[in-house]
Amino acid sequence: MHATTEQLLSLRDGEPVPAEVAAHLDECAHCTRELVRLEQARDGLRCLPPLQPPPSAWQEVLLRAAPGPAGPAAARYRPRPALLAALAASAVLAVALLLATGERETGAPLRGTTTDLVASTPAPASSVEGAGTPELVERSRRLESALRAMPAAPRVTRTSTALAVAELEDGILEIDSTLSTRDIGPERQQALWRQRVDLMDALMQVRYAELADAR
Amino acid sequence: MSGFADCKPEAAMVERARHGDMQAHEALYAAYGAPVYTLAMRLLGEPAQADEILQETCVEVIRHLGACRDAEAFAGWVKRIATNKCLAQLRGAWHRKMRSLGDESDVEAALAMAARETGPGPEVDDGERLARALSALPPTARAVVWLYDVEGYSHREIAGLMGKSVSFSKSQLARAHQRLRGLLVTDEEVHSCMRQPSNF
Repeated sequence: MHATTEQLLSLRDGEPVPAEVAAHLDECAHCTRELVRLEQARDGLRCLPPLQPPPSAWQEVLLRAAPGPAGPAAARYRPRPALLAALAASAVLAVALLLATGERETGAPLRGTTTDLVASTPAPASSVEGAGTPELVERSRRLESALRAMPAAPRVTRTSTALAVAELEDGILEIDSTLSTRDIGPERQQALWRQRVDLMDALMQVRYAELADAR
Repeated sequence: MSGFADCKPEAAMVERARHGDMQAHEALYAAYGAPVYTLAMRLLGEPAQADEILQETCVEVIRHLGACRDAEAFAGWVKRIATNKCLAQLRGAWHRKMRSLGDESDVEAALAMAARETGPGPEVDDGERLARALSALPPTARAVVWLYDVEGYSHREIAGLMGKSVSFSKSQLARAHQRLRGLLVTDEEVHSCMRQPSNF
């Protein structure tokens, strides 16, 4: 019986393996060839040439990192009232969703908790009303970054919340799939980006409420 | 070898950058920009996403260089930031679809498609074929093999970064090499078949 790939990798990397595996290598040409192949694969990967970033990358970094109002890119790293308001509004809806689908005995967030705080925040009007495609794409990108920056989901979460998250993510992926096709007109594109922003907003709502609910 | 291995800025340069000297920051970027971009490209496979990771990493370096007290540790610190951002990106919604495709679809077909796009021939060297095979791996296996074999992370470190176990990292590494073998053998066979003179 030949050595497994994991055992061969352990041998390659100088990690301990059972004595019989090492003994087998002394007698088996097949496993010896495999071991050499694994070494060559590692060496080949290490020899792949470095890839060069776009020449404009550093200028973009300077714009982003600028402390003042240096341009639209620099604003990405500062909290924006519109975004915060949208997040607050999102949280309101998310809390409503949790309360509607959950098994909470009282049916209301505990006083003084984060859930209570965000539930008491008034919802602003939709910030994507009348927005063009570039604005929608930018907003979608911001929401994507905000979602990535959120802490991981709690270990224990409501089934209804998990299902809502999965449904929203599936919806976003479906839109992405449609957007990646070439034969869609600008109006359809704009409608799809609008839907995407709406879904990401909703996803943010649920994730925010999920975290608040876990505290 | 990882490009970070050659990223050894002088302590004085790091110190200047720590005090907000943007020319020093640019000099540091000249050393770590390509390694970060390469890491992101190898893990994510998309130039736009790699560019985004690079820029986010640079901004974090500029804003939080004070957290890196030792110039000797600078390259490792930057690498850790970039790696964390790449793995967060892999966990995100953008990559879920790609991940499911990578796990369930025929990756050999993906490589064959990539080979058809550029066409077989002597102009495609071993490095290019290996790079294509790497990019055809499922994202998690691709990340593990790159982080372990090239960037020098241990299985324990990879497990920590991914929130998984050491055995998960080991099995993903083995899986990656099994797939690479399949992809490269298939590719070699395809090439040798196409180079054979026809008997008809």
